Amino acid sequence: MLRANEFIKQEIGQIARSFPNVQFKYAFNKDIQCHIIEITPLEQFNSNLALDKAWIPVSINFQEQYPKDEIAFISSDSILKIENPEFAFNEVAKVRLFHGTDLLNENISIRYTVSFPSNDIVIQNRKLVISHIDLNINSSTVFPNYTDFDKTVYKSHQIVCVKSNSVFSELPNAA
Amino acid sequence: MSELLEKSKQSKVAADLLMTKSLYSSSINRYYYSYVQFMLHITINKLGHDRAELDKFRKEKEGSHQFASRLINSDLAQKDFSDYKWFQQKNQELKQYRVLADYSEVSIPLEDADKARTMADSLINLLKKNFK
Repeated sequence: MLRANEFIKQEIGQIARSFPNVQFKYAFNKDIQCHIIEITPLEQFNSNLALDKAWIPVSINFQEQYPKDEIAFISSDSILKIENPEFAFNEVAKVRLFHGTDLLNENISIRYTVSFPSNDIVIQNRKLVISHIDLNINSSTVFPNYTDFDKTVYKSHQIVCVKSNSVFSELPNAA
Repeated sequence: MSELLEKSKQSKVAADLLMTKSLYSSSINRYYYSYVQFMLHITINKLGHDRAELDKFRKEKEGSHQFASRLINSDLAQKDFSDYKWFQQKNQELKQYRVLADYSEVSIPLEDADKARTMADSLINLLKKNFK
């Protein structure tokens, strides 16, 4: 028999493949001795009936198979929200952008870093989200993969991205 | 009246009194147990499990609270998916508030005690609705 967290990883991994736009994070909450799965975004957790029909049977099945364990599927506005997941699926990365030179031509060379909260576990369908850009451009844009992010037009500025050698490493501020 | 139901009501009265004295962490503890006692009342008097069965789990790792919430979870899932979805989250959230109130080094603000009160009331109301 699988350990409880392995069972959860297996089951949630399958659900995650059917819901690529939904993120799943897992951690064990030691305070309340409960396996927690956080589902984001909030509107998906609250209103996606197909998603409910996918995870609720897993929750019930888990309780039958592991009667001494507790499990809860939670929304991202919960007090039980996960800060340091043990594993995650369909995780969205936070991207930090550093604008560089060539401002005169309004061609902004930027370097960027990508960080995922949980790096040590196999993650499916990672995505990049621009969460912050200097120059007062506030936006959150999802790029399906890294290459799409390489070159894109953003408002009147052409953003030319220069990748670092390792997209997962933190870069010094290049500004 | 069920003794557990009476105890649940008394815990609620005690919690409200503690709130008036600004004893927020103690009030959260009482709101939580008001809910747990109500849950045990449902398990015994509505779902038909006997006290000895609960006591057996209380002495083991699982615990009677966990046993009761698992039984209620299972029943709710068959009754109403949306109630199950809400219950399985709030049940654990209230427990987290209780753990923080009882054991953490931080002082508990009125806001948290209010949340715990609302949560306990809502959980009890949901159980009343589903286990008449």
